[in-house]
Amino acid sequence: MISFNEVSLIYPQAQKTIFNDLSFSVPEGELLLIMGQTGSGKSSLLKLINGLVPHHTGGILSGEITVAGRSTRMHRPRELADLIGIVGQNPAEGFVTDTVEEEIAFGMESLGIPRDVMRKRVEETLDLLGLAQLRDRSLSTLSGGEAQRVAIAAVLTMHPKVLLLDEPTSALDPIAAEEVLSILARLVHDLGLTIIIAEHRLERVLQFVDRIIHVLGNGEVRIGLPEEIMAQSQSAPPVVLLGKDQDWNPLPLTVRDARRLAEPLREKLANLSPPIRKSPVGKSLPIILEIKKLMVQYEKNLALKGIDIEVSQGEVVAIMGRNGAGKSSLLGSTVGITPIKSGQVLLNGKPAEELKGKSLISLVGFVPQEATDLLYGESVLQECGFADRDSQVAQGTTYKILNQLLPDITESAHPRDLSEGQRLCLVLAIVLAASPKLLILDEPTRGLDYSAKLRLIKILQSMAAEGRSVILATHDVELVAEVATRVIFLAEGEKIADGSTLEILTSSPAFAPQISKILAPGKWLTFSEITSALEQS
Amino acid sequence: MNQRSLHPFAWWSWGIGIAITASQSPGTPALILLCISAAVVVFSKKSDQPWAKAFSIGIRLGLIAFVIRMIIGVSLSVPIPGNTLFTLPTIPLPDWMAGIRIGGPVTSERLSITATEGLTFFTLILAIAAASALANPKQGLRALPGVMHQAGVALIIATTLIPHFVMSIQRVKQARRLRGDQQRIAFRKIAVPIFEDSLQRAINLGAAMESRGYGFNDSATGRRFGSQILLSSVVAITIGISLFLAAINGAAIAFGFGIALLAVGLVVANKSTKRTRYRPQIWKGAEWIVLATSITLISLIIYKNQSTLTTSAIFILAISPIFVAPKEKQMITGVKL
Repeated sequence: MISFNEVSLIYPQAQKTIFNDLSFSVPEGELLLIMGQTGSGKSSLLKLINGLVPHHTGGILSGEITVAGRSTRMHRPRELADLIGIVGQNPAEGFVTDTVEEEIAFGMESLGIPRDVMRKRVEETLDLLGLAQLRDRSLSTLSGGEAQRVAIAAVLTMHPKVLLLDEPTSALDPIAAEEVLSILARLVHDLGLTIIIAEHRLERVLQFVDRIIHVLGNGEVRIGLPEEIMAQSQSAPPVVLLGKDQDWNPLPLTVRDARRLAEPLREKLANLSPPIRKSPVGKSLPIILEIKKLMVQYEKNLALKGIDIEVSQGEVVAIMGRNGAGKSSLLGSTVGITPIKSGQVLLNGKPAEELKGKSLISLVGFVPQEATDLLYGESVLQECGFADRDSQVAQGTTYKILNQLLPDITESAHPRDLSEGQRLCLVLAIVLAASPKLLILDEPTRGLDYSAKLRLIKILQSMAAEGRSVILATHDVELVAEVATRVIFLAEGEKIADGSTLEILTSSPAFAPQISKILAPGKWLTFSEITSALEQS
Repeated sequence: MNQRSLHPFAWWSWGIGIAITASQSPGTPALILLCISAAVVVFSKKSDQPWAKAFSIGIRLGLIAFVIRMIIGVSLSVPIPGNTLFTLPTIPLPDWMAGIRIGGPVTSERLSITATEGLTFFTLILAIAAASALANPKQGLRALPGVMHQAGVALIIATTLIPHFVMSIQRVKQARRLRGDQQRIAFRKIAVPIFEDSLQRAINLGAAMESRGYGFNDSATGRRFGSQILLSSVVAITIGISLFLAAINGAAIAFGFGIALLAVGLVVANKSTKRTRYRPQIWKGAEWIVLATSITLISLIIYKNQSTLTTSAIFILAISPIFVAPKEKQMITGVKL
């Protein structure tokens, strides 16, 4: 279906070879995963297939790519639209019309498909993706998972043979992600579609894929069966890490495979107890953040319905819940950017909305979902200089912090050219310059690969050890399992659970980390807990 | 959820009908009745979509126009003899401006003539506002003939991008606070992130449209030829309307020529694009009735004299959409209230 023949790609400005002499082919009906670090060229590989690279982005391409016999060299992306559907990283940014039904029909209108055929295909696709209820909805009101499904529907109506998806689940909560992935698996099985996914969250997709392309970042790629690639790869989900550590054969890729093999391990661990999380719940520690009966309202709907939360020094609190459950509103209220309807938010005893400037940032450091909003300098060094001035600290303080987080950064680089993980470190350094007592992160792992995530985990752990508090809103169960000492669950603007990480995560199957699913009923959450417990015994 | 909206062009034909009627001096009672019927139709048929607010904006604009017309009419005009109500102090003007004066006696005749003219302005503005409040602009753009499709899509995208732009300004302002920046005027710090954000969004949208086959099979030459014919037709129709308004002969010829050109242009242009349209706006009975009443309204005011009978006929015709038109579709947001 797709064939690459000695393909090389170079972006002249970046002076970097993205791919060198790449040859492979993908048969019809395969579900393929592209993995690799951020900035390694996963998205470029996807866009090469439908010709957006180089037709839309520039770059020097040699070699030949054909899809169903059509060469991307001779055809522009729009001329391949009847063959290839692509769904971008942020599907909402690609919406052209304003209601679900019109959006789904847009592509067919361009292709000039007769009206009666269009009507039929729209109905079929609405049913296939479970969108019939949403057909008249305005696109701007869709949740993340719904938008993703609409974007998939909008390309499916053109009856493509190939579907390309760039990080389809990274912005979704575990349940919505599961829904999207099972739809994709069904499309492969029922319609024989060829699907290629680029994704970081391996733990979510691994069970569905037939083969993996591992983009190594130095111009080379490795292609093979999931077991082969996972056996060699540094970045792997917890289930694979555990399998490798225990020398399980065959290497398990799913919780089910691992559970079958884990019987001896479960017995061995039964006598051991997981390390107690150093959660300083002692009543003596001072309370940093106090939220009392907080209500937040947007126009007619209540986003938060009377929330009470106290966070003391040294705690790492994870806020979880569906898209639109009120997580961002809650975090925003702690720095006074969410307008409060009633209730109180006290930072160190002072109302958050009254603080500003130095007195605000020395108490709380906030990394918003769109971390780039904070950046306006032209180089990393200049950006650090601005942060020194705003935080009123000695010249070079921010840069020193950045160097600890990220030793190999180029100081003259433009912040927009950094990879997602590097940019997050830069924003963290800026925020940490004022040494705030409380650090707040909104969806920090969106777009982060395993190694960047590992670095973030180390940073957060050391912050907690220094006695700072951390609050993070995230969908990433594995991250929560690694760092959090406490988990708060929000649903429809209400706090529905608040307790220790172990207790909350193991109580619901959808939000349980892989290790705890494998070792249940044992109370284990992460791979590192097991290794350290086994070493000590 | 079997709601249907009236075709936007039908609403426009109704609005234009009222506007033309008002411009042909039908008399004060008829003007007042036209305003009432516009208001009644709008309030019973409008949706909760953003453009429905156009009517209240229209009322305000109309009132401003009315007040300005009254001030000018009372303070500065050619003297009209009659029953003097009160006298304003006169400001002397140089000799070459004879015939115009500022201030002076205000007669009741002058007051009533000015008020009628002001009311005409008010009704004109209200009629246009009523049509824009009822007609769905996005549907209207989509109903445009194939040649104007590109412009239509550009306008639709522009309207959906405005809310995103507002949100990105808000986010960046919040980011200022998060960095502890207290500088009041920080154009660069706000402009740079917003600009980069918008640019990125535009690039992403472009890529999405490209890969979804936008412009899949357009022929450029046919489209250009079609556009030229259409442009000429618009010029001819404009000349026709101007001649008609200025009451000069030849209006009908220019108008007819323009319409003929328009038809040819549309056929040529539509042949050059192979796009199809999903769920085009339907033009059914209700639309025909609204269009017919509008045409009757215009011919009535042109060929009939002022009389009580005409005035009541005008009122009935102007308000008739309330009986035939469906209520405009409401916005569906999925937000629980």
